[in-house]
Amino acid sequence: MPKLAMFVDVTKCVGCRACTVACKQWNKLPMDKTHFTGSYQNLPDLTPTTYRLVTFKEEPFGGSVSWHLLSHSCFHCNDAPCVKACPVPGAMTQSADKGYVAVDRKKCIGCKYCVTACPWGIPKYESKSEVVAKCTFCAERVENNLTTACAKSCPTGAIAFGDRDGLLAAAKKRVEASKKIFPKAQIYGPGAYGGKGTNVFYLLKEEPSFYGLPPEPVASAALGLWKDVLRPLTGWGIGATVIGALIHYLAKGPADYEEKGEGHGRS
Amino acid sequence: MPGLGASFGRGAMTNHFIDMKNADVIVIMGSNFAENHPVGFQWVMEAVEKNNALLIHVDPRFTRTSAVAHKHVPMRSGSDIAFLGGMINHLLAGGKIDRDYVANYTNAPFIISDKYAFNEGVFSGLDAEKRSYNPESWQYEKGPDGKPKLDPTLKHPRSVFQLLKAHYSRYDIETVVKITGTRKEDVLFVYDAMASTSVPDRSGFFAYAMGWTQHSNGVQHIRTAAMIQLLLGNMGVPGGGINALRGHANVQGATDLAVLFHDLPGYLGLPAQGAHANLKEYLDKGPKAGFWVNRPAFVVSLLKAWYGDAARKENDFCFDYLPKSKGEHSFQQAFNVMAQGKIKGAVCLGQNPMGAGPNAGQMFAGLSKLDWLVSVDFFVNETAEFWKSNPTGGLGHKADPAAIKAEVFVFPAATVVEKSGSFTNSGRWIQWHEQGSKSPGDAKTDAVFTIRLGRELKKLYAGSAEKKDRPILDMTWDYGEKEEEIPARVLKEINGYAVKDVLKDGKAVVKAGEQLPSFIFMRDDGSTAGGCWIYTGVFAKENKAASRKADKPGEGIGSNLGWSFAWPANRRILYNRASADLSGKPRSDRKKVIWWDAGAVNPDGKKGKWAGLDVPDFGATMAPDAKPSDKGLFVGIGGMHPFIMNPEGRGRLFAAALKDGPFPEHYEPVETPVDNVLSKQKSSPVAKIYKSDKNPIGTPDKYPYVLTTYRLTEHHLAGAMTRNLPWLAELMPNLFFEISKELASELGIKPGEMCTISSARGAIKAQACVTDRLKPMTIAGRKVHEIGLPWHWGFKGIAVGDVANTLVASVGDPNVFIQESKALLCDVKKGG
Amino acid sequence: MDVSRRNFLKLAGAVSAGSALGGLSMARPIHAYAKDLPTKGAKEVPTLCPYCAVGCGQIAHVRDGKLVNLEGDASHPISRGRLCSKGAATYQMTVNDRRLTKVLYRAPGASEWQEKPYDWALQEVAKRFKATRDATFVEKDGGALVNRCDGIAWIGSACTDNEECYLFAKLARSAGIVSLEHQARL
Repeated sequence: MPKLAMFVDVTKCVGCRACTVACKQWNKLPMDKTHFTGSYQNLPDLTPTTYRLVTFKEEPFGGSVSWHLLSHSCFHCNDAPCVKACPVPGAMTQSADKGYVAVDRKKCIGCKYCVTACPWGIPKYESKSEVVAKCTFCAERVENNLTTACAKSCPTGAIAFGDRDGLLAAAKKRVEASKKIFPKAQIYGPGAYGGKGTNVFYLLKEEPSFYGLPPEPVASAALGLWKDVLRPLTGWGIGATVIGALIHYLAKGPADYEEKGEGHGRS
Repeated sequence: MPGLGASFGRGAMTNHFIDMKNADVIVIMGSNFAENHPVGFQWVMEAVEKNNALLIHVDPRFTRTSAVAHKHVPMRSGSDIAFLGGMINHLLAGGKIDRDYVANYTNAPFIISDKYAFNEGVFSGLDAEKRSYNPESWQYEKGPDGKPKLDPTLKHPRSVFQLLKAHYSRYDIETVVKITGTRKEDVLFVYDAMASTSVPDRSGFFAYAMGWTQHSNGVQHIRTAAMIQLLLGNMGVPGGGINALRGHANVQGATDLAVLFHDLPGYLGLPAQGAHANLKEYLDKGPKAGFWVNRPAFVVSLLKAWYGDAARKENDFCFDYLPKSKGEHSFQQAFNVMAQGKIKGAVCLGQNPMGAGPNAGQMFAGLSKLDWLVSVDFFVNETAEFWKSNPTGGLGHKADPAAIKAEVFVFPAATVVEKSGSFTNSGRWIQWHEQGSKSPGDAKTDAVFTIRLGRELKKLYAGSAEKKDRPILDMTWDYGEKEEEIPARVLKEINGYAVKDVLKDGKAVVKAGEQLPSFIFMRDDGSTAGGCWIYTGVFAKENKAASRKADKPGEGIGSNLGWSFAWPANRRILYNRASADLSGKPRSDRKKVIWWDAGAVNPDGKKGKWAGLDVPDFGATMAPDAKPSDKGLFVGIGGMHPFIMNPEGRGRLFAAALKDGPFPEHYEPVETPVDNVLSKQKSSPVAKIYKSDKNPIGTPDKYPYVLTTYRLTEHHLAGAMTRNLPWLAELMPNLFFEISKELASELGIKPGEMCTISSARGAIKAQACVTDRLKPMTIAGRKVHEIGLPWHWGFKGIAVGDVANTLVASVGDPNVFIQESKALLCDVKKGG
Repeated sequence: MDVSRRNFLKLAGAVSAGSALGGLSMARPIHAYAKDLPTKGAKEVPTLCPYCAVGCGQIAHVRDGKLVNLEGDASHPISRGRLCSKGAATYQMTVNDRRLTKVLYRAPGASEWQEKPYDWALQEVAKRFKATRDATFVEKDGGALVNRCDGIAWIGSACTDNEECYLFAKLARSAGIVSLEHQARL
């Protein structure tokens, strides 16, 4: 099991969105054009240039109201469907020891299989650069013994980064305390995929479906079919994939985010 | 903040952010702590998580602070004093006060003049015509020795304690509910929560911000909380106090250093025409007891710092150079005078009145009359471009450039990361920042701009024989040629230095040319110079603002005495003498800060000093049983008097120093939909209402809804520093307003729909945020709707929108002249 | 052959009927991200957040005089490395195409800005400052010496350093200005 993880405790989130901006700052991601449509959230979903989003949801609660603020991003699954789905060697991979799942933008061919495969719809395809983008778990920071940008910035400690076992233990403690106020409080993520779990997990105040999260995250049926049943039968398909990737590379060069992105860097 | 100053002696946040972890009960009221100070809020979360603290948010709106609070208690904007006054009544009626603390450390036993009276919402001494009080009848009754009379039993009918009881007995729970619109059980929940801290083993604090100050009686909001904390014994202890949450990085420092019309650095007060004809008169009118008796030394040191060798004893140390104020010159008043054509030039540095000033129409009227305007900023802001029509964002901004004669100069400024210098945070910590990157193009620091402007003026005035030009010519202004060294040189001057050897008992205690280690070495004979006495010690041998020795995480009460420098004298919890009992022992082991160590041997061989977890906010070797003396540094202060800045050495439940009454009283805002349930006096009889054709006052028949303005995490103030930043413009792109589902449904307004909000001053366009987080309330039997409006937008930047301040009236608190933008009247209509 | 993404997918689909894509991408360490930090070799400068008054510590990463990254100062006892959305965006206050880098001047009645040299503008401002001061100065009022300049306002600021505030007060008061204000009353 990988050693690192992030634990998002929604009971501590004040929705300040430091995580979103710290992520953009570190990755030098450009702004997304947004419009007010009735909620503080403004941006409806993750985008190729917004890797982390806080969702805002109001619900009546015990004579008052509850404001559900959820900072979400890639779950960095073990046995990740996106990794399984990716046809190009090394384009979408998981770090065995640190646990993160990352796109190599130079290898990505933009086939969007990962987009379809992800139970949460996390990877986003950017049409201009023709590659997929998502949270990187700040891989280069993590590899250099730094905390992820979002966790470091989080003012209230709602996003914690560190040793996976330690965070799991902390999560279990927190869920018990939270149940006194939120009876449906639960941990979300570690039990996914028959216990293989995710490396980013949550303490939720409500059922996952309340936040629009699948209660049991599963990869798309098609992915399971070709991945686990058909793949063993067709060894030569691999060759086609690699050739395809090579042709793509020769024709278009490496998918270069910095050059092809729209209005990247500072604006 | 005079609400704190009048009560405790200093107008500053009494504790500090890290100390919040020590609290048992936290009441956030008049503040949206989590949204506007998210990183400071971690210490509230720490108290909740590790200290099992109860967290309550009392606010008209359910905000991101409410989202993580144990309880959100809604109330109507402008009813805070009724809410808190009811708490005073509840504490007194139920005996839930810290009686020893009240008897020993507050002015509860003092007898008030028999001329004092209060009737139908009005205190004795009102001149209704002039809208001002004569506070003569609010004074202590004095004995034959000229000293105030006390009744230690607190039973005298004119004792502060009995007057307090009588005054707040009117604030019974039913009355409170009628005024605030809050459910009775919620009100009592808050009262009982705070009451639980009346024992020495428990503490709680109030955190407030502009939700308390921006009222026509804002100062009295804070006063009410101050009185509650004195009754509960929550002052001077860890996890207690009144935590004023400041909104600008250096609003505390800019106040300390007196970028304010009425003051001089270190709260010395600008001399006034008619009151202070010469230095002697100016000094003689200062306090005769308490630590302020040292004011002459601080004043003379300031004059020496400003005018150097020209400041001599025989010329009153250049006291004449200082301008003498004539009445009020506040921000609102300045723009009124500007609109009358009397102020002809303005320098705006790091400020954007066109967006930030109350009553934007008044701001525009003022700016339009200028001959010249200087704006120094990172971006072209709304003030710099007030003369140009900007049709962006709602109704936008209309102007006719041809008709506006003002010349405008915009100077590019350096950002914080491009310069070194210090900020004073909310908790009075003076912290240093180093210079990182280089400024682009001609961008320069505000210090460089100001020094260069001063040099140009010195050049232009060189050779002048006119007396009026002496201050500019004699002003010390040599900060060297290396621009990067300026800030440290200035901080050294602020700290102060010995001009000549500083003598004590004939011996030199600080040598000529040396930096002063403490303000106790300042002298009134011209031997010392120092720009701001309360900062003395920040740069003695070394720059302590840059000191980075933090406590071990989680250890102790979080004083962090080795990190930066907190004014005064590096004290972190103000009035911490009050954490110990009369004999100097901690009142509670759990809440101890300092205590008397009778066995400690001092350098002079004498025994006994205050020891503990913080720098004592007290005479370091003043024994608990020391009798008040009429000489020395602490005239009139005995070893049992924790509030050393007040002449009586005690915290004030009754305070004669404010312009609108010795006890806080509930009044309706100047614009209100209801009558005052408590008295015939509807709104404050002394609230400041600026006369101008731009300032009509609205009535509920035309403007039926209460409007409150507020801030968001994602933007800052008038927005120049955030609406120009793509990442923040993305998070909050458009101006919106919050409206309850009930009212939206009545008016047929859908989520996101563009609407028009109007007040008697003007109209703006904003999109609807239809929400359950605001609810209509029943006030005195009447349904009252409230609208919430963030005020960050303007017509320059990436994220643009109408200026919310268009709606706000030119109405002010009589003590500090802050506008009433937390409670006014408006109308809302579908469509833009 | 136009090897667009769509064509590639058609090709891959035709060849393997969607069966064997991605056979090589088994979980394993990847090395593409084990690269140097973008902040490598940059100077770490302790600075402070310019927004609210919590006083959060920030670390500026500076290379060749240019800001390359700005994040929380983990050793700061109040903020402990954390920043809010505004604080986290501080980098963009400095590195921003919209920033002013030249003095702008607007002549009376003009409808556009002109760029001007800094020193020229400063001298012109000083001249106007002096002229207004001289024209509106009140030396005596009702017989009392008041040394007051009624015609100039100095506005700001709570966003500037202590040292700058001190200089504002010193210069403004020496000029006789009484309408000296920052944002404390707003």
